[in-house]
Amino acid sequence: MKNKDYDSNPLDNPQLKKHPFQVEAGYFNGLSEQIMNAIDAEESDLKFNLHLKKSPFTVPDGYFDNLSSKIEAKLREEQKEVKFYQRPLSRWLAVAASLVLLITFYFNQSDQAASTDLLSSVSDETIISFLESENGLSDELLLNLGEIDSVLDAIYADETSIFVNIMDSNPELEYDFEYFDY
Amino acid sequence: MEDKEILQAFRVSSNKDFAFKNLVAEYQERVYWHVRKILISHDDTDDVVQEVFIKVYKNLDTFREASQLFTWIYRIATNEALNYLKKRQRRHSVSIDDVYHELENTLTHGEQIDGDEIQMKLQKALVKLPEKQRLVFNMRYFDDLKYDEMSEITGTSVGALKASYHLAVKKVEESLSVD
Repeated sequence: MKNKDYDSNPLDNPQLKKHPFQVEAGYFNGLSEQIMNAIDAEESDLKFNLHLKKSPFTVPDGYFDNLSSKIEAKLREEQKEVKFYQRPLSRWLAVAASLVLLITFYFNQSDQAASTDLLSSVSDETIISFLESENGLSDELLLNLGEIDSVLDAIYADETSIFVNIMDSNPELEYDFEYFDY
Repeated sequence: MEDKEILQAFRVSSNKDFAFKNLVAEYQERVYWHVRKILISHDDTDDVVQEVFIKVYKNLDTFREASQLFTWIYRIATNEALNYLKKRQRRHSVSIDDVYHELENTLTHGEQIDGDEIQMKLQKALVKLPEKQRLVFNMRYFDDLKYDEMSEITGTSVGALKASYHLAVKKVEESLSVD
């Protein structure tokens, strides 16, 4: 008979108000202390303070809306420059000029004093910008060869070689490092 | 547009610009934030991000699909950002410590930075880390990259990356716990 009463509205059954979950004895006694500890530890806790994951960096309004057109404009500009250097005449003139410079340099080599004077007349800025442009060229060529590897590995070697050696020769230690894997 | 579609479209000269536009739209924010975390300054990042995409455009034909497109782009972005720091070091004839000091200074006085005390404390702890550890920490902690992906980007073994990350976390935790 009772069940029939709940047929019209099953949620009226008081049994449904009781949840089936349980906690261990004394759980609520220490809960407030645990929460307070968590609050104290929260701010500097890399693992649990998700607020730390938010970047403090911002961008000007609409920056990403315009970035794509800035990149396209710069690309078009660079393509124009490349096209100039790709002209056969320009290329041969560049080779000829380089040869003249090389020959001049060769014949001036014996005269050390004169060479020193010649170099000293070139400003530091010119030398730096020449070296940088040379470096830029090699950066492009090395793009896929991984110049980054040597840079990173040199730093890494100083900092982490001991850990890597241990891990490579003792794979069972992997578990210990996974512990620190946030 | 999916990466595969972008790459296919890029191979057809009449679709090249359209494909590149889609690529930039897809990756500009990820590249920007990755570079920004290395260079800190918005203006420097803006310059480098443009260079990154120009290099992507010039080299996309040579991209072998052995790796994911995004790890390849991240690799270029990482390379460009680290080279930018090196060039600045050479240009001003200063030590790498001075460059890090400059980064810290940008954190304190730079524009387009709006973090609270604890976020800034974390960033200041990060700029004190060696480059590699900072890079690894950023990719793992902020970008949630997998070690396999980080390995493709840096060309470093997974074991080495875990070790780097472990060391970085230890140092950062130490810094954060100091008042």
